[in-house]
Amino acid sequence: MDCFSELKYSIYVDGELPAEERWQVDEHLLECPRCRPLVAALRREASLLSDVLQSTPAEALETATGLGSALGILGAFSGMVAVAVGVVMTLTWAGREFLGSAPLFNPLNRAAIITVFVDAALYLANQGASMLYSIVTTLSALMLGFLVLVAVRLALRRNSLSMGLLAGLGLAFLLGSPAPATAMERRGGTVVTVPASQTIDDSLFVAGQSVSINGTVNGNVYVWCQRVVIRGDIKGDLFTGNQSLEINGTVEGNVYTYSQNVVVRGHVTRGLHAFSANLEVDKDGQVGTDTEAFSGDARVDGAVGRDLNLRVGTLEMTGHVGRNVHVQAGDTITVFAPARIDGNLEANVNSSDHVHIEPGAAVAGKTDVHLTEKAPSRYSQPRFYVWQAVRLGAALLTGFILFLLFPTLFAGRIESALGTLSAVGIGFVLLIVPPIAAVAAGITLVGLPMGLLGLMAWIAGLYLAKVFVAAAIGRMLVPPGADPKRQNVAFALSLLLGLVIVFVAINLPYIAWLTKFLVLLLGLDLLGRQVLVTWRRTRSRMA
Amino acid sequence: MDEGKLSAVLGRAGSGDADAYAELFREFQPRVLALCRYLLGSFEDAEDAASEVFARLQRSMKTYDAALPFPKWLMSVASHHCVDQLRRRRVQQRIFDPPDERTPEAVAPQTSPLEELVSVEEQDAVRAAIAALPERSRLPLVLRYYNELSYDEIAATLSLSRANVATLIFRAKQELREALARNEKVGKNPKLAKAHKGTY
Repeated sequence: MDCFSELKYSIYVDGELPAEERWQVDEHLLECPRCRPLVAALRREASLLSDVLQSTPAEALETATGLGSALGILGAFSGMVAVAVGVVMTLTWAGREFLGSAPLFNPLNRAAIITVFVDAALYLANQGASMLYSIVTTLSALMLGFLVLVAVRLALRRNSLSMGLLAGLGLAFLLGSPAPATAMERRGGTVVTVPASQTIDDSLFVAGQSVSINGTVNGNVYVWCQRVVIRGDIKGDLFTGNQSLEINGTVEGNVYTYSQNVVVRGHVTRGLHAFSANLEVDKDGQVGTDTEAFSGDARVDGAVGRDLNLRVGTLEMTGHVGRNVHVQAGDTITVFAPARIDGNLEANVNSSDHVHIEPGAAVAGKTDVHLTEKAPSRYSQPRFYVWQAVRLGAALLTGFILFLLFPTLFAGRIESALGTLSAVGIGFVLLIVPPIAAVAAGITLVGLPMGLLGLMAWIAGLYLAKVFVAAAIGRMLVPPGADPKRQNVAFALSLLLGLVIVFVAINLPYIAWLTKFLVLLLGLDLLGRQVLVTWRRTRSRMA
Repeated sequence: MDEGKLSAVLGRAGSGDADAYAELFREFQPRVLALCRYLLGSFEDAEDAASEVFARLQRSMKTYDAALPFPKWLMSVASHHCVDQLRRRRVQQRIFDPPDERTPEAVAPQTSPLEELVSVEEQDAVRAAIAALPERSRLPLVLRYYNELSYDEIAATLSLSRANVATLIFRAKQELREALARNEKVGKNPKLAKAHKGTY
């Protein structure tokens, strides 16, 4: 007897053949060793299709066409950033308008940014140029390696055109990148000296361990090193980060410095702006206009042409100030004879006996001593709670608008994020890699805007992380509501609950830094995972 | 939700208890949504359709015959709704023309049935391939293996003959095997579509 068609077997396997035909097939299968495996395979296929379809996870399909394409993802992220920025800026404005002189509302804690910046700068100041150099070489090597890998991969696919293009690009990149500043003279080394006889007409960029400028520089000077001594003449401004700065010569412009120790024995024709542990204007030292400094200790024995604005631990002065002195001191202010202040002296101290003015010292204007009240715990101030509420409102609004625009991005579950966080660490990667990549991109001139944009997107992502974690927590505690027409309300309520929990957690005394970090990791993980899933689906759909 | 609980909830739903509908929604919404997604081919349409199905549930419950398992009944309500939606998109009432039955095996006589999928990725790939099938293959396949409707029920739903349905399902499987085999060639899912050797 002839075998039946595969179509007939397919119907047979589905149990849809009329009884009579079914018997015929049954009989045939008993005697046909060729058809039996086919039917068995068809049976397994049918049950496989059934299994696969029955076990369809809802979110698997949710993301299948949720955002369309890679461009869609990019657009969606830009949209999210725009929404977050819009909401936060609007509420900042409203907050300032209605809450008066409350501290500037910012999604990113400004104090934290300053701390990070200062820490990074300190670290850089200690490690100096060698670290920058090694970062640049490492990143260049990584990029080169990446290019080579891509080229090899393309070559394996015999895609010669792309490979040629890529090789050209790589070459252009290599040749083009190492010239960030052609308009200035650059010097480097352990000890760099500009001899007294030399005049440099350009601006000067120096990185080294010990730098002495004894000659003349007609432009600006940028110095990054451990020790700087200026004995010569700088016609422009001096920008420097170092451990110790001595100005024995003349700087005709402004001085901007980030140092451990600053000593001015010579002349600064314009202003002195310092961030330092110790600041000293020697009795022979002169600052033409204003002196502004954040400093641990400051001593002013020389002359300051205009205002002296200081935020210091202690201040001692015997010198001359042309206009007003405004000091905020953590500890004491001592004005010795023969100091002379031609304007007012305004002192902010913790206790009135912290200000000593010797009888021989002269203050031409008024002397005001304000007592700084010790800042009470922020938790005891109603303002803290008002601002947290405003922030919470901003995050709630942001999350809600995002949910309306991109519901699929909120499909991530906190359990899955927690479960795989340790294994995959998407959040950690997203926390670390983008800023490094942005810096790497910023090395070339072409990559600079891209790097900056990437950095902005990353910062926005940090803000959004909080919202995503809150949404996931809220959903875990309050599963989505029943009525489809009220999904939005249900989401808003669960988001509110999640946000309250997250805000309490990231403001807990003592462990706030830890909870903040965890929230960041979790949120980036949730966001990254959803974007990844969407990306993968999009690709498999396009395939 | 076990059967006892389900029938209790259905009883409450029958007497108009809004909470019971809420429970049914929570329990079955993901499945209904996935079905609508497969049938309609777009997530937005599927969301609308699923919402509509549940919004009308209170009214359509009057036609529910307690002898039938509720999930099966609900899924058939949903698939009818989706097919109506698809019909509305077409000028003519028929969703698609019946297949040409003279050459039922012309598609790809070489492909062999799919078997054993091990990993989640492989299952995902099959789902994606099903979702990417043309409507005329996807609908019968999904109604058969997701909804577990009989050929006759599918024929009635899609206004086709029973023989048409058999052919379409058979072709759909072959198209699916082909699509997955193409993926395999590209190197995306090397473990997929394990060939069944020596069957011909």
